[in-house]
Amino acid sequence: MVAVGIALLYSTTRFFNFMPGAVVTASAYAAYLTTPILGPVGGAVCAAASGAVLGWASDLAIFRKLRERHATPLISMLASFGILVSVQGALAIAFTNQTRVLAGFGGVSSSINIFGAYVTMVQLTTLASALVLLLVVLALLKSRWGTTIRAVSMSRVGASVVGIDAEAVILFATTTSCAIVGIAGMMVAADSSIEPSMGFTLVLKGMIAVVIGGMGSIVGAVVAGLSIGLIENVSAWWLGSMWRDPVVFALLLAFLLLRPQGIWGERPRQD
Amino acid sequence: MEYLLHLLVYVGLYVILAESLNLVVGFAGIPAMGHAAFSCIGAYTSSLLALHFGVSPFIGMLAGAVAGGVLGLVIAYPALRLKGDYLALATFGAGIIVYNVARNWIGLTRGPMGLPGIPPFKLGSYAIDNTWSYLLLVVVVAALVVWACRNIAKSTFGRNLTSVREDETAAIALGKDTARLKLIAFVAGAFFAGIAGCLYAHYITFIDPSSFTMMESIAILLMVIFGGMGSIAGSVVGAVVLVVLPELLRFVGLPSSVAAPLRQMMYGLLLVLLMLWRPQGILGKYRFR
Repeated sequence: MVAVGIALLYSTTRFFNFMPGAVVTASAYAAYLTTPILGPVGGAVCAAASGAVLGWASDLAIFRKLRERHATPLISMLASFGILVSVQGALAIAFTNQTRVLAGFGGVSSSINIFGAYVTMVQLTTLASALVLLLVVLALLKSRWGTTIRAVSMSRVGASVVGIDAEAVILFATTTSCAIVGIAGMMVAADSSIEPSMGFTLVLKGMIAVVIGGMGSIVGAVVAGLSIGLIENVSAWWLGSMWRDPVVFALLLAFLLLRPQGIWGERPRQD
Repeated sequence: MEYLLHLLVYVGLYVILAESLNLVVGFAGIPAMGHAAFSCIGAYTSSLLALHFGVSPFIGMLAGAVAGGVLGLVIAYPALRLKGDYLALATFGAGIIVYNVARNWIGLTRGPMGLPGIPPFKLGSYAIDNTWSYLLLVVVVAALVVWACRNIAKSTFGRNLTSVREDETAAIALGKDTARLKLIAFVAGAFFAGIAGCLYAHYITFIDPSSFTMMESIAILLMVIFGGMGSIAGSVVGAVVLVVLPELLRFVGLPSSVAAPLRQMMYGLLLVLLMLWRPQGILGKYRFR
């Protein structure tokens, strides 16, 4: 789910955006605050809303200015990284570094036995909502809105020439993808736990999925995201769980070096 | 007073780190985001040599620097074929791998438990283990590194490097072996970072992987960007300001559980603001492309 959000962001703004990391963490805490009061659905709405607001505000306040100044992808990437780091710091001040658990989901107790494997309700919900969101995003991309997003993604100038308000499209795409990532943040929080640094690891994994799946290819990102999860668990079982991260990052390096366009991606831009 | 000296030792260490990264980022224009990896391997090399074989830290420092340089070569040789944000992401990934190896290769590094009891530097029979004498040592080494970086920057090699940064295609057209130039710059930066790591290890006498996280790499990068990329004085200014500034928070009386994330938040905001308004930093002439 994070990978889908990142892929959608990358396809319009064309840089490695660390924003989803900030959004995941912020939304997880939003869900943490609101779920006990509003229930799981209300919590999810709040998580999505806080993600959307964060994405919307950062685009208006920072990334739009950077685009006006023709900032390079690298500068935008560093700026988004700065946002991630400061959101992480702010949340650590507000909620301390302590790990927190999202209540109101029944936890591990409500698990179902499917073909001998135990699956928790949370994981099922995550899977189901990920599927629904994926379908929504794919449908969206086929619609008129999707066409304009893809037009902007191909050439911002070209899209402006034919009368598309590129800025508005980017703002919309950013807000939408941040809302998706926000829900993802809540799911992660429900499945494991909440801590200020959770988004950092997650956004890196998502970025790896995007690189491997191919830039701008949403299906690619999903397939790669699933395969990374698989590879992680296989390597954890094979080499021991501590070598999980090195294996995944080695995979990233291998892809960056040998096939930077990923499996389904277009050619990387030349700059 | 002791605290002030301690702070100055840190300033000296970060001057070395920032200046060495400046060579890579500022002069060669390589967006390297994993610099802590090289100080990490430098620190572990010289500590392990001293702990297991009783090797003098001075020789250990050289070994640590060489280890940093070799690691730099291993990372840079393939990674430098990439450009821009792809290259940044690759160095980022490499930094995370090194951190994880340090944390998980328990047999060698004792992982998160760290290496305690690292012996101090010795000159003859005199042990450099109080803050005064250590400060002197760090200042001398930092001055040497700054001097070396300045000379490298002013040399033919340094000017060739700047030409690669400004316009790689033009540099190739003039017959420069740009891949080799960038590789040497990266290895040199990693070499000096290895020295800084070693100085750190023998000063604190305890190291664990948490001193070499990605946040550390980002802090060093921020010092270089803040001071000004491609400016020798800039990196010194950046290191001084960004080490001293968060320390001021202590005097406001904040508990350390708030001070650490606040420092992180400040660094993050500073990075955003710099990217927005002054990507070339205070004294820099160059910005990322």
